[in-house]
Amino acid sequence: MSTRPGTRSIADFVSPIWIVLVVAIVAAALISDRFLSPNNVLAVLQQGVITGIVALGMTVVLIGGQFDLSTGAIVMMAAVMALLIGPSHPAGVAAAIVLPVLAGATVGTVNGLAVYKAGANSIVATIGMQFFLVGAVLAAVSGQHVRADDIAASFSALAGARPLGIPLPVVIFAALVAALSVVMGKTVFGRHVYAIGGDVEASRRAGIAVVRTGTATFALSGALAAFSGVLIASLVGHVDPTAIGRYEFPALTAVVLGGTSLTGGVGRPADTAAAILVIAVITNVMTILDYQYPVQLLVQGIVLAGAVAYYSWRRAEFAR
Amino acid sequence: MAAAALVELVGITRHFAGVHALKGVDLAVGAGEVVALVGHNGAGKSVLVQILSGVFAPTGGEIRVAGRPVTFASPADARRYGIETIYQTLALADNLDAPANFFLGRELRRAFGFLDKKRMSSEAARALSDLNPNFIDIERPVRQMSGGQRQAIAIARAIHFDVKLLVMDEPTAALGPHETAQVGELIARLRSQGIGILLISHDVRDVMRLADRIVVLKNGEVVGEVRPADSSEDEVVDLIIRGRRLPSGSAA
Repeated sequence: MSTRPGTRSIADFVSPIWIVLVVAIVAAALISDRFLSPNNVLAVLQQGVITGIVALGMTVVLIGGQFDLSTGAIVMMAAVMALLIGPSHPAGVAAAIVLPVLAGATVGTVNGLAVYKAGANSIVATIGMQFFLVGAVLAAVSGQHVRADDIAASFSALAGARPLGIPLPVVIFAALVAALSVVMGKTVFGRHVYAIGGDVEASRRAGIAVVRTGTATFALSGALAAFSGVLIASLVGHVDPTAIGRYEFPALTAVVLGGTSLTGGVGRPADTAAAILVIAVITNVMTILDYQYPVQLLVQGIVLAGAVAYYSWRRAEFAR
Repeated sequence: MAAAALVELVGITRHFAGVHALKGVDLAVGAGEVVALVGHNGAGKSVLVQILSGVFAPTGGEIRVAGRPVTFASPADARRYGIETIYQTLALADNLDAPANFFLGRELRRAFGFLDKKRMSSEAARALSDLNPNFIDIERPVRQMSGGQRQAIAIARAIHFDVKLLVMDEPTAALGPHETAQVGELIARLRSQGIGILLISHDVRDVMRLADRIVVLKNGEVVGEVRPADSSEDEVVDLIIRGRRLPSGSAA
């Protein structure tokens, strides 16, 4: 095998988002000596986890060339489900974790079949799913605040435990990033997702099971979004279904910031995780500096616009 | 032609929402035979290619491989019967590198669905350098490669996996004279190995030179079949345009 040295830049191996992350951390440490305190570092890590898990699933779907905008509604559905199943008794804890995740995977499977089998546009299909889920959940709980009467310690521990001092959700997030990096980078499934995102017709003609593989990306995204919802339920113990955050757009922001191509075929789960951390660091520093939420949004918007401009330039540069 | 053709189409029809793209096409390709399929745009050539390669199922008729009726539920099925297609578009995933495209859809695996990247790289490198000794730096996205390199990948993967019938859809349409000559040499070499070739083209001069038989398709029907050895370019062009031979040409 012949390779020509010098035709690859460091950006081919380390996505620029990691460089941005290092710069952001150094800058943050210089701006505030509170930033690197252990408690603050853990706060930064924890802040991004819920959105981060959602973003990981959306990354895989987008590498396949599709959008999953139903994830926010799946988060809400899963959080409500987890609390309704009633994790009050230790025996119910497993069900309160597993059933919402299965429901999320089922919703994702429906999304996937709509897109890959029926040929629906994924933006439209998953926004449709979002309306359906929000409507269904609000109807089921009559628009009321949902809280479990008393929550078993083992269910609270899902979000609250701190093995070796690190919050369990952070550990789970890191494990998911590692697992998905392996799946996408080293397995036949991952290769096929990249191929489908690169050229769906070429993939079909090459004999790739496009419907099965593509549907699996949506099922994965649904399951991960649902798991995020379960974490919220575990963390706060109650959910206001009308007020629960809309996670799909912050997550999509991280996916794009991490360099996943909006047209599919390019992206890495670990880069999305780095983007989640960049956003968390920026938000954290601005909170330390006492900038208000509108300013934080503004800065995030500028960072995102800069990232999109950079990636567009880079792709144009390397297109031929 | 041999008693049982390598691949045989019998009475193939295909309708699209009321449009009859193919109206009962019979076509056979034998081992070591080069059959050209010519016709205008819209004659039904590309539909026929896609039926042979398993992209579409025919509405009616039968596909036979070595005399036995088969059905292709997907392109993977057609490949399993040894029918490989080089599409005019090449059907490469531009974001992936050469080994990934070479093994697309039939990746070498280790346990648990893991890719065997090392073996894929070395096998693809060997196959590609057989075809084009100047092929370097195969591990970059194929979108960064030249047209000739991209076509080499499409050709190399089509002939690497025990091919019996090679369907070539306009293989020379985008090529210069030198590369066109190379495709000609390749066809001759495959033919001598007993591989059947179905060559789709609208370059009559090309197919007169390369094919053993020329089948002319017009409006979804086979309107004639000639052997280059005992016919002329004009005769073929006439079949393509009018759907019949010149009265003087066929009378003799």
